[in-house]
Amino acid sequence: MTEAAPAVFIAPATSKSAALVLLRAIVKHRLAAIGLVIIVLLCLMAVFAPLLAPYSPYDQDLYRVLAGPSAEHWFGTDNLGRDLLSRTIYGARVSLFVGIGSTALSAALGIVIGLFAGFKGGVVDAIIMRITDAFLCFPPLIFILAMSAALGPGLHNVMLSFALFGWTGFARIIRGQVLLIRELPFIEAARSVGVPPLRVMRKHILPNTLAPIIVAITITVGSAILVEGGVSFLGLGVQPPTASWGRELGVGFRYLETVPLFSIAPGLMISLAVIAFNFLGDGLRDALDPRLKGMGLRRI
Amino acid sequence: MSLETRATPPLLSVRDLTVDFHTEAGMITAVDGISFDLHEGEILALVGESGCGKSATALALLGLIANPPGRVTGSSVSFRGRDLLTASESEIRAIRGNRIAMIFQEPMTSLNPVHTIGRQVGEPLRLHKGLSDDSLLEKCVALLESVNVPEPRRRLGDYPHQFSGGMRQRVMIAMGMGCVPDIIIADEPTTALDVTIQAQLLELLRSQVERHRTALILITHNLGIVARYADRVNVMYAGRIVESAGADELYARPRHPYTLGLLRSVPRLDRPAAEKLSPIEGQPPDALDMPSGCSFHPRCPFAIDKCRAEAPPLRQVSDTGAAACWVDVNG
Repeated sequence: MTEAAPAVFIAPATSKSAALVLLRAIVKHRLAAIGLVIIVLLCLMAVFAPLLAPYSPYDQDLYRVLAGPSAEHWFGTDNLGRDLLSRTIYGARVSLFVGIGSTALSAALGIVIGLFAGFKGGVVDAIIMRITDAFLCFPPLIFILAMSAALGPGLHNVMLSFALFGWTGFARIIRGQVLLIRELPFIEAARSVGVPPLRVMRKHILPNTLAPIIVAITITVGSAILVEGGVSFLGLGVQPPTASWGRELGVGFRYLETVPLFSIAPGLMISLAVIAFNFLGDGLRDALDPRLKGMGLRRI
Repeated sequence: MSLETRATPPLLSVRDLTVDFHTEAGMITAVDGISFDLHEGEILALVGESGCGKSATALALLGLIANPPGRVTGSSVSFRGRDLLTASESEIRAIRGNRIAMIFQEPMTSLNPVHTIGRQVGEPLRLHKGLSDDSLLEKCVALLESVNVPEPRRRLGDYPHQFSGGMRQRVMIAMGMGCVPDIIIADEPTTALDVTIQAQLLELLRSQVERHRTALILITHNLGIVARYADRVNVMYAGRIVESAGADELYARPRHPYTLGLLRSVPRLDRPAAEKLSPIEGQPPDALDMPSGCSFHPRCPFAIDKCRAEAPPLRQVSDTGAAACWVDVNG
């Protein structure tokens, strides 16, 4: 038992870094690999938008408004004569920025609060958990819409509203993990060496809670992109003339019969991005799960 | 060996240490007013069945009993003139891993899976000695080398799952010895390992403590280990020390019926093979419902009426031995 037991979970001895092990697992998982490829392509598209887009997303050509697809304008033009392909490409910037930014904010907030709750326990824990319960009673979109409306339109406010709601999920996951891990022998061992409590929390407990958080993060990016789409669709997100998929969808919706691609193209992009992040999240969960079961909790 | 050191004041002196746990079912007294001394370089064994309070004693010494539900009380736990019971959290933290180190019983789970071996071996040194970078690395290499981990330099970068159970326990020993503590508490250090490795590790532990004159509190239920390694033995039953004696004396002439029972229940090479082993009948008492008088009396073949009525104090029965029994079976 002493020699053989851990062999099952061991990553190949040659691979030193956890990231590499993870990457290998993703590549093996076909859907996750597809998701990862799509995400990478979308990110490249956002970064290199000025090089990829045939026109500036802001240049209006009022002689050619609401034109159908043509050789010059592959997706056609919008109600102000702007090139829809270029606006769709630039839209990736906003969507990914909001998606990743609001997830990062939520995760940062949720991790700190969840760690604190799990580590402190008792009354502190009970209060924080009841607050998360209260938040989770709201339908997310309604809450975020209300918050965005209260804070005023704009990208940063959408992100802030999302984070104000989104931390609860992360806090609950982390708190559960902390409760599990803080009872394990290696935490007692760390304390017996004289490691101060905050350091135990940061260096010994936190890294062991990250596997489910990584999964939650990827899936949350997907839903944040969706929420940005919804909020911008309703006019509370980015303001004109900035191109965002949600906003394009909202404006283009009115011209669905004349220029269908006006709303369909950004709509498809939103779906694609959300599906890609969900694929990746699913794959990561499958990749990380066997290590969480059993005595697992090994490095990812 | 333990007798020669008697002249000097003890390194650790525990008086009336009590550990209670307040649970929903009621209060459990895991350790019930125990007292003992530990001298420099001495190997003291704490022996007893599961749940007799051995591990709780160890954790209490290091201030690692969580409160609530636990509560540690007592007259004093004096370590080098300092009372650990009244010491502040930061004072105790400066002692943990530095002056008093602990080796846990589960090498498989006592190392953090997300950190490299090097980081973990180096942790006490970084915390207490302020070592870093090259000096820390060299010290870690030397430590792993001293516990016979092959290729120490390379293995410092490995993670715990790349080590076998025996190797991990070597790492734990290296971690414990890092700051050259005055006391090492080894809580069942070899229980999870197979027999051949047990012997290797105990030899290693002994050579380490002998080299540095470190006192060792060896917590175990294995009387074979005790006979071979301990200078002095405290036998614990239901949270109390029922007999305390030099190891040789204890084996030659046990004075408490529980000790006698323990010795009769393990096979010995110096007895005829045909002699039957006799287990101690019955179960350890329910911590929530302790028997009256001596807590061992329901299982004791020698019990007299007085045992049921009154708990016997630990009293001197020889020059170096003490037992808590009204009967004194080998007296």
